[in-house]
Amino acid sequence: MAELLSGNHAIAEAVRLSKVDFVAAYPITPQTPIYEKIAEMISEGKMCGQMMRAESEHSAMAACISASLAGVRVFTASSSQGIAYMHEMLHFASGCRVPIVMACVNRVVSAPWAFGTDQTDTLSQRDTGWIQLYCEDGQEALDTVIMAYKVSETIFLPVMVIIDGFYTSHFIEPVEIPEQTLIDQYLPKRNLPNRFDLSNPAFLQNVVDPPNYTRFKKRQFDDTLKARRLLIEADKEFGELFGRSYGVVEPLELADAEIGIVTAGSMTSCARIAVRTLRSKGIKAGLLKIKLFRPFPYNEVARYLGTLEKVIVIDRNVSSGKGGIFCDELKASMYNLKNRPEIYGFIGGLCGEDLPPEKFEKITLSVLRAKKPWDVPKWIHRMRF
Amino acid sequence: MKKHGLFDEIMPVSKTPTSAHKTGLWGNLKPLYKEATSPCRESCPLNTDIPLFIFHMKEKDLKRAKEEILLENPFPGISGRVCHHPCEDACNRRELDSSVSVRALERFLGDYPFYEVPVSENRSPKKVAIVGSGPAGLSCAYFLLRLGHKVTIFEKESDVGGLLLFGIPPYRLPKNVLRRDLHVLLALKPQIRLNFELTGDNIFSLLGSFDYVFLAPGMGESKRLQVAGENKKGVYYGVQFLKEVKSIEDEIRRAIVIGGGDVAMDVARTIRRLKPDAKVSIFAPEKVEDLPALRENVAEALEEGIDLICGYLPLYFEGKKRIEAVIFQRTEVKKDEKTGKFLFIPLNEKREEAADMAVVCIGQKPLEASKLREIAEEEGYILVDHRGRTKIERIYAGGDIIGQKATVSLASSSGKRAAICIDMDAKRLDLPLDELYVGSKGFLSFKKYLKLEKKETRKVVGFSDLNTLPHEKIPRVDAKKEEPLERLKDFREIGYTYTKEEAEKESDRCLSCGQCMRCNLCFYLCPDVSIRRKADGLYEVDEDYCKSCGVCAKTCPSNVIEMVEKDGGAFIR
Repeated sequence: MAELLSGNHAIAEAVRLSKVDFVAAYPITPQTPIYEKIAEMISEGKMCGQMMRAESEHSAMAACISASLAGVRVFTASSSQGIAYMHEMLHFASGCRVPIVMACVNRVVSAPWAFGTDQTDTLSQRDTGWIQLYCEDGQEALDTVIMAYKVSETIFLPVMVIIDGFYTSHFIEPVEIPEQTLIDQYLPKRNLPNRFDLSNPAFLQNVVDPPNYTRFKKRQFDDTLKARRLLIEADKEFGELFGRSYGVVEPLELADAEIGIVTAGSMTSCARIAVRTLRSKGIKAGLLKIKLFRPFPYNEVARYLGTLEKVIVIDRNVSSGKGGIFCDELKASMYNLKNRPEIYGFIGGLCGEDLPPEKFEKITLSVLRAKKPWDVPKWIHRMRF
Repeated sequence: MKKHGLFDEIMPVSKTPTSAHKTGLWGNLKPLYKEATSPCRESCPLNTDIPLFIFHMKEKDLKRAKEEILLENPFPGISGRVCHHPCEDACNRRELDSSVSVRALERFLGDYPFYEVPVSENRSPKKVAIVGSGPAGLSCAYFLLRLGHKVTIFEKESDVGGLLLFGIPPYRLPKNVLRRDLHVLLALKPQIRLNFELTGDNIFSLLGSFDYVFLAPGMGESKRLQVAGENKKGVYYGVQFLKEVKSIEDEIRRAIVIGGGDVAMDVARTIRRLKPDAKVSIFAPEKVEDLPALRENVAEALEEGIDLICGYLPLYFEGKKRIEAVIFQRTEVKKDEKTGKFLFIPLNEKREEAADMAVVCIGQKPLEASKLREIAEEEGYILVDHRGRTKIERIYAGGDIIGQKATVSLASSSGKRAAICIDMDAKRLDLPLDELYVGSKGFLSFKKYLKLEKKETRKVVGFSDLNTLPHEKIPRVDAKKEEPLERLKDFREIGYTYTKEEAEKESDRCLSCGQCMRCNLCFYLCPDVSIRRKADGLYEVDEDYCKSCGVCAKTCPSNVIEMVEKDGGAFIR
């Protein structure tokens, strides 16, 4: 049954359906409605978990790590400075191999102080060892939280489920809420290890020597790579049960395309319209939506983009002095391919600035005219089409 | 997959205790448990280890609590009622809310039925004559007997007790309480010679048959005003009045009591009971805040309907044979900064008060100085040194006669001092008294003399040394009292001893300054789990793991932990 829900509330419903035992969080715009909705559901008895109001995001993550080590299913959510504030605990979470799922609602990282969406907050946690999944809308966010637990509790790595602030978090759209019985079948309660078993005492994360440090890091690296396969399977199984699946990337009209647009998050929806319009004008345009950012989907990127002549990457984020982060990652991942496209980077939509389909169309047309790609990205807001 | 098997591969987990890492090497300090002196104990003339006996009460071990008191104080039932309680004035808890009611707790223990005290073995006991059986003489006897000496008490009256017996009315100190407390001493079997009058000659004959003599004859005589009309009928003197007057036959409409001390209060309150219809007024020279009487005694006198008029001294008494009025002069009392004596400065205001009787209570003086002329000074006082010795060898003295403030506990304290110093002299012990002092007020500790105490007693714990965060403000528990009008019907004791519940509640208020109360805060707060509880409830420190953070010392509510250098020095400095 579909209900009208904001992306934030869709995530809260997913948390309820996943029968999460422990939630520790600290409010921050635009994530706060997730936290509030969960609190409401617990107080109304619709959800039976423990809620902890932490004094900071850093403490919230520390509490989540400890609770997860005690063997319960854990959730938290944050945005922007909040994610930045938990940074060191994020490393600790992945190193502790705890299956935490965190909803991240993108918002600019200050300064300047602002509220609109910008993926830099989550992308700057790239190297913390978390799996990152960028979602296009509320429905996908709900479904992805559920899938995230399945994968996370199998491979023992934490997962960020990411949506755009306001566009996805606050837009209200019809969202299909799965049946609890089916969810229970898809995501049964796992007997997670309780690492604080007093009858079997042990010291976690003791000091290790360089060979052992390397061994654990290598293991974590390999397991993170394995998560891609697990996600593909989880997504497939989800599709069989619920009729919706997303893949780790989603290709659109790429089979015969000459030029491809690469997006992540909510801007994908406008890009879809642009591709349809360009096709109607006879331009062989296609689209690749990247959902999985870590582990990086090398195979999919090579498979879908390797045959194109030109690829456009639109980044709603920026790594100052370098470029858009998706663009850079894409270039790096394709460098060793025999045939690789020219890659054209653009930065736009920062702080929630609108990226309507027309802009995608105009960018595509301009890239079709371009003679050779550039290293430094072009900033969409200053372009004259 | 065996249980948890996967997890040991993905995350370092050590089954080896972390004790393999001797993290204590990182710090050069360690906590040292070091109990110190509380301000209440320091100010107690008898040196009672107040926080320790209250600790035993907290532990619900009343027998040990009473034993602890009896170690230093022969009469807890008595001092629990009449002591001027300097301990409560010194109590650190005053800074938090109000002082602990130490005297009421002592009274509770005084009434607790346990009366046994140990006697030390003594292979060469000495014979000691004690002259006077007031608090000083009895206290000296008590401690000498406990040190194994042979004691004979000489008393002028037909019963022992001295001022305790006749100087404090039974509504403040009932006779059965006195008998019960003296029973502890009498069980140690002193010889008692009653109706013995001390003279200048028999002191020296006592020296012939005894190894030592302790003089504590008390004051014996009331000071006179030296004003006109003082010989008229109807004029009485304080202590004599309390001792001799059991009823008043004459019709009395207005009685005037002159003086601001406890005797004045007791006399006025006695008249209130003997003559309930008479108006009783106290005229004191001091200002109300400077009255030498106990706060409680003044408050109870006022409750009982007695007038208190401050700032006057009599000029003369008027009347034919019997007094009819007292003429007062407004007076200011000032302390002479040089001599410490009180000066009475007359002011230009007179006041006439009609009176049928007047009782002069302006203090006591030694009985006819000539009797002890070889030993005493001009005014009859006997001077002693810091060991209680008089100018004549083997004669010691104590109590009011040595010129100290006239209180029961100071008198008992001087008796204890003489007992300890006589014992030292007898054993030829050349021990500096410094080692027996607790704090800096110069009162000797019997416990230290018996070497029963090891703690650092010169350091006194102040309020700022304590961590008071674990303590909430709790009102003082006041023992119940009858209504004032009920009290006036007879001489029965005023107020009740704490119930067990009240005593528990009040003892819980004690901050245990300098006294470990086994609160376990150090044990729980040690971030390195380096503090262990021992079987006796105390704590020990594992230096291998203590990183010198000092959390235990900072948070100790009783200030019994001090950070000191580790013996082996530091690994990293």
